[in-house]
Amino acid sequence: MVEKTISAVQAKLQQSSLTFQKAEQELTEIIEARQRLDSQLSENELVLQEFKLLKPHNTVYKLVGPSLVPQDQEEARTNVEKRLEYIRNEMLVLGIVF
Amino acid sequence: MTEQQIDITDLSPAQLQEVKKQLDAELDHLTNSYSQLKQAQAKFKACVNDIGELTPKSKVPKFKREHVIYVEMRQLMNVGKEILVPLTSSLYVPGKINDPEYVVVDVGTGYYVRKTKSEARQHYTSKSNFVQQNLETLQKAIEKKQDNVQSVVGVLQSKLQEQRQAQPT
Repeated sequence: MVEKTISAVQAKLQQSSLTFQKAEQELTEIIEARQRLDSQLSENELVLQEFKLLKPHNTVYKLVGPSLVPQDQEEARTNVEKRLEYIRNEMLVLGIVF
Repeated sequence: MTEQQIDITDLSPAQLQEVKKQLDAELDHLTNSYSQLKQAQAKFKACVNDIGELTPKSKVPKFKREHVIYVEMRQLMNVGKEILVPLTSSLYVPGKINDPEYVVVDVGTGYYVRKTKSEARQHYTSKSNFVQQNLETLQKAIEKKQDNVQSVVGVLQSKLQEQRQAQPT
C-alpha cells in the first residue's frame, strides 16, 4: 500500500521534472531567438538611419555573394524598412509565446 | 529579474552563495560586453586613421610649369598611387588608386555606401562616439553590479562569522 503510493509519487515527480526541463529548454530557445532578433533590429535601424542621411552622390551597394552590386537608394531604403517591419512582427509573435 | 524586494540579511549563507554566483555571472557578462565594445571602438578609430593614411600629407606644391602642376596635383590627390590589393590574406596584386576622393563604407546588413573621405571620417567618428556612450552606461552598470557583489559578500562573511561563533568549539 505504502509502496504503491511512493512509486506513484515518484512517477509523478519524474513526469513533472520532465515537463519542467522541457519548459526550461523552450525558454532558453525563445530567449536566444529574441536576442538574435534584437541585434538584427538594432543593426537594421542603424542602417536605415544611415540611409536617411544619404546624398545623391552616395551610391549604395549591396553585397551579393562576393561582389558589390550598385542599388537604387530608394530601393535599398524600402528594403531595409521592410526588413524592420518583418523583424518587429517576429518579435510580436515571440512576445505572445512569452 | 524579479523586482521583489528581499533583504539580503534575511537569506541563509547557502542562498547568499547562490546570489553571489548569479551576480558574478552577470558581472562576467557585462565585462565581456565591455571589452567587445572596446574592440569595436578601436576598429572604428583605426578606420578613421586609415582614411587619414589615404590622404596625402605633402604640402601644396610650388607651381612652376603646367605639366608639373598636373603631375603634382595628381600626386597631391594620390591619383595613380601604387598600392597592393589583398585578394586573400596571403595573395596580393599591385594596383593604382584611380579615384582617391571616394571610399566605400560598410554600413551593415550587407549594404555598402560610397562616401567622400571626409564623410567617411565623420561616419566612423560618430560610430565611435555612439559606442563611447554605450561604454559609459555599461561602465556605470558594471560599477553598480560590483557594489552589489561587495555588499552580498559582506553580509555573507558576517553571517559565516556569526555561525562560527554560535557553534561551540
